[in-house]
Amino acid sequence: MKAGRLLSLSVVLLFLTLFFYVPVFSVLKKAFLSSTGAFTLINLKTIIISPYYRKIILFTIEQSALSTLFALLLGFPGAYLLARKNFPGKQVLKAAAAVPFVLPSILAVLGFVIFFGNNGYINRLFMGLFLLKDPPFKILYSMKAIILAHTFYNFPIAMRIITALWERLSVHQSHAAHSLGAGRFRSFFTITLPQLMPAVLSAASIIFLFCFSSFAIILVLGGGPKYTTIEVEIYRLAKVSFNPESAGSLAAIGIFFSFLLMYITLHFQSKVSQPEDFILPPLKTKNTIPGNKHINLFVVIYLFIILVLVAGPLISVIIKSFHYPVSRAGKDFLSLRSYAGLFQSDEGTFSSFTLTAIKNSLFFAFATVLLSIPAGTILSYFSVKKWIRTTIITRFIDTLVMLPMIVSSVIIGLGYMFIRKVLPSDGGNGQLLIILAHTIIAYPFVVRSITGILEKIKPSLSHAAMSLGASPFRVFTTIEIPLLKGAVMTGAAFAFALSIGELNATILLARGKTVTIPLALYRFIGSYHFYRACALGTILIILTFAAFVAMEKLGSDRRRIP
Amino acid sequence: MGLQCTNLSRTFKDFSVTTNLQADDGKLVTLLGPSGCGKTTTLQLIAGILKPDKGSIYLHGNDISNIVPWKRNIGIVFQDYALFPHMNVFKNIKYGLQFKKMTRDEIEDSVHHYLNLVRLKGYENRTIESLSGGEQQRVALARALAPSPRLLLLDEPLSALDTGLRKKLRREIRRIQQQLSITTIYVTHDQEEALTISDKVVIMNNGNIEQAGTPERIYNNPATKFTADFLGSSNLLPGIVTAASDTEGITVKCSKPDIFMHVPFQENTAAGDPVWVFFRSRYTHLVPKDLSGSNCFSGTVTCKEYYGTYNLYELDAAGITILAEQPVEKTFHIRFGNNKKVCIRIAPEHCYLIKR
Repeated sequence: MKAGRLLSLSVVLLFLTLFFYVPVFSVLKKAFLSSTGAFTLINLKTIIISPYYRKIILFTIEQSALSTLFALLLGFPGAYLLARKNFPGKQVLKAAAAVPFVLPSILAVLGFVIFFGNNGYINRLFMGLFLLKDPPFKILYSMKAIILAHTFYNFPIAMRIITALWERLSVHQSHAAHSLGAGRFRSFFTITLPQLMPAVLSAASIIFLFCFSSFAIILVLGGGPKYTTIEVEIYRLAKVSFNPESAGSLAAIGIFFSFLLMYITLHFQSKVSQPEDFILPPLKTKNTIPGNKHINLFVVIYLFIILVLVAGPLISVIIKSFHYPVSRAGKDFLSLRSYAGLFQSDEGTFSSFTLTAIKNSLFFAFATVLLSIPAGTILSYFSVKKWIRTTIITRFIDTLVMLPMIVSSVIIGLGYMFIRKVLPSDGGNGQLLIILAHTIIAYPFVVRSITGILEKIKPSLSHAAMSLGASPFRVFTTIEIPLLKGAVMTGAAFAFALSIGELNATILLARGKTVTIPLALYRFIGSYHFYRACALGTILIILTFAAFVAMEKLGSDRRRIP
Repeated sequence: MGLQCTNLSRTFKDFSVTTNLQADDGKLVTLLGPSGCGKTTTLQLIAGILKPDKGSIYLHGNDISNIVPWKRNIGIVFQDYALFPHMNVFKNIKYGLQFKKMTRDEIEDSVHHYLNLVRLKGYENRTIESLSGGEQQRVALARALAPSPRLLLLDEPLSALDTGLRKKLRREIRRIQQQLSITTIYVTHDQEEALTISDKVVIMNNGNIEQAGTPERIYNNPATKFTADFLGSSNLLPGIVTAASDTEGITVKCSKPDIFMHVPFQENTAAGDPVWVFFRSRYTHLVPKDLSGSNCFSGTVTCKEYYGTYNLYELDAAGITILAEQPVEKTFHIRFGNNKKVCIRIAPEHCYLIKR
C-alpha cells in the first residue's frame, strides 16, 4: 500500500519534472546563459534597455490594469445581486457567469469579431435602426477591443470571488450599522466594503495575471505591433523571427511578473479565508433580501448587459454559421453552405483539413483527460491525505504541483520547442508534445476539482466503513470513489474543454500538417473566412457543451457531502 | 470480562493517553471528562483507528490489539454520525452486513429488524439529507448494531442534538443496549448523561483515568478533587486531620474558614493527613443567626440565583467560595439578600474526605 502510493507519486512527479520543469528551465537557460554556457545578464539587459521591448512590457501592464478595473466594475454589482438578492434570473446569471470559464479564447475572439466588428451584428443593428451609412462602433483591432474582450472574459472571476466572501458576511452587520445610525451608503463604505477588500484585491490580482498572459485575444483583436504584449511577442520571436535568446529573455521577464502576481494573489487569498470564528457560515435564505422596485430595474439592466456581453457573441457565431453570402459584399441568407464548405476543398473535393482538425482535437482532448485524471487524482490524495508526514516536504511538493498554473501556456510551449530534440520522438508533427503540454495545462484544474471534494469527506466516514468490516480497498471503492465521482467528472470536463480550446501552446508546437480546431479557427479568421469560422466555431461550442453535459450525466449521483 | 485494556497508551506531540479500562460483559461503561482529556483517543485505540504505542486490548478473552480495524467486529457511532451521504437509509444499514456470509434475504430481514429496533420502520428509502438529527442518530445506531458487533463504541452520540431530544434518545440507547445486552463504551462530556445511563463511570482527565466506579460511588465519594469538581456543585475546604478513629469519626482542622469539621470514619486516614473536606451544595443549611460549634461557619451572600425548585447561593467564607442549594419551600420566608451575613452548617454524614 505505502510502496504503491510512493511509486505512483514518483511517477507523477517525474512526469512533471520532465514535461514542465525541464522545459521551463530550458527557457530560463536561454535567458541567463550565454552561447558558451556562462551565466549572463546580457540577454535580459538587451530586452530591458530596448525601447521596443519596454513599450511592449508597459503596454502589457497597461492593458492588464485597465481590463482588471473594468472586470471588477462589471463583476461587483453581480456579486452584490448573487450574494444579497433573490430575483428571477439568478440561475441565468450564475450560468452565464460560468460560460467564459470554459470558453476557448479563440472562440471568444471570433464571437467578438462577429458581434462587435465593423460588419458585426451590433453595428448592423444600429445602422438599420438609425439609417447610418457607416458602422457607429469601430472598436476592433484597437485597445478598446482588447479591454472589452478581457472584461467579458474575466468579470465572472471577480463576481465569483467577491460573492463567495459577501455571502459569508452576516446581513445583521448592516442591520447593526443601521441601528447605530449609519445610512445605506455609510454602512456600505464603513462596514461591508472594508470586509470585502481582500476578495476584491484577490480577484484583481488573479484577473491581472490572466490578462497579463492573455494570448489569442491580443493576437487577433490587437491586430498589429502597436498592441503587442509579452506573450504575443514571445510567440512572434519564437515562431516568426526565430530569435530564441530574446524569446527566452522575454519569457523570463514574463515568469517574473507572473510569480509576483501569484504571490500577491496568495497573500490576499489567505486573508479571504479567515478563521471561521470571525465570519459566519452562509446564512443562505436569511441573508438575501427580495428586491424592491429600484432593485428590479437595476437587475433587469444588469442582466441585459451581461446577456448582451456573454450570450451576444456566442449566439452571433451560431446564427452566422447558418448563413452564407450571395456575393462577396452582399447580404447573407440562411444556408448550410458554411458547413458544407468546411468539409470541401476549393476544388470541390472532400477536404481533409477541417476533418483532420476535429479528429486531432478530439484525440488530443481525450488523451489529455486520460493523462490528467490519474495524475490529478494521485496528487489530490497525496495533498489531502498527507501521504508524507513531513510538512515541509508536503508543502514543497504542493507548490511544485501548482506552479504550472502560474507559468503561461505560451512559455510552456516555448520550453517544449527548446527541448524538442531531447524529448521522445513525435514523428516531427508535434502531436505528442501537444498532448503533454495540454496535460500540464489541464491537470491543476483536475487537482483543484478533486481536492475540493476530497477535503470535505470526513475521516469518520472511512472509519465508520472500516468498523463495519470494509478493508481499505473496499473503503476506497464503496465510499471514496462514489463520493468523488462528480469531482472527477468535473475535472475531466475541464481538462477536455481546456485541451479542445487550447491555442497558445498548440500554435507553437504544431508542425507540418498537424492542425486543431482552434488552429483552424485562427487561420480562418486570419484569412477572413468568417462564415466557415463560425461553422467550425459552432462545432467547438457543441463539443465543449457536450463534454460538460456528458460529465454531468456520468457524475450525476453527486450529493451534498456533509 | 467483556473488554479489558491494560496500559493502553499513545503519545502525541504534547499529549499522552494511558488507560486501564475494564468493562464487564453486557455493561455500559461511560468515559466522562472535559474535551481534550483523551476519551475519544481511547475509543479510537480500541477501535483500531489509532495504533497504540503499547498496551493490550482483550475483547471477550481474545487479544485484538494486532487485528486490523475492519476485522475487529466493533460497532461505532460517531459524533457526526458519519452516515454515507451517497446511500439511502437501507444501504447504510446494509453496508456492514454485505461483508458477512449472509444471503440477500437474511440481510434484508436484518436491516428491517434493526430499523424496527430504533423505531424507524418505513425509512428504508429515505436519503440521509432528508433525515432530522435525531433520525440520523438512530440510523447510525442501527448501522453500527446490524453486523452484531461484540462491542459497541459511542462517541458523544448525542452532543449534536438539543436537550429534550438528548434525554429521550439516551433512554432509548440504554433500552436497546440492555435489550441486546451488548458491552458498550460510551463517551461523553455531559455528567448528567453519564450518571443516568451508565453501569459504570470512568472519569478521565489529562489522558489518565481519575476514578472508575458506579455512578453513585463517583458522585458521593469522589476520590480526587477533579472528580468532585467535575460532577458539579461541590464545595471543598482545605484542612488537616487532627484525630481519626473508627468509633469517634474523624476531626479535621480547617484553615479557611478557621473551624473544626467532623466527618464519618474513612479507611486509610490518620492524624496529620492533608485533606479536602468535600460536601455537595445541596447538603448545606443556611441559618440567619450565628451558630457556634463544629461543622458550622459564617459567610456572606455574594449572589443568589433562582432555579424554580431551589435557590442557589454563592457565599464568601474567609475567602473561600461556598455554593449552597436551598429548597425554595424551606427558605421562602427567609430573605438572604446580598451582603447578608449567614451561618452555613453541614451535617457530618454528608461530608467526605479527599486526599490533598
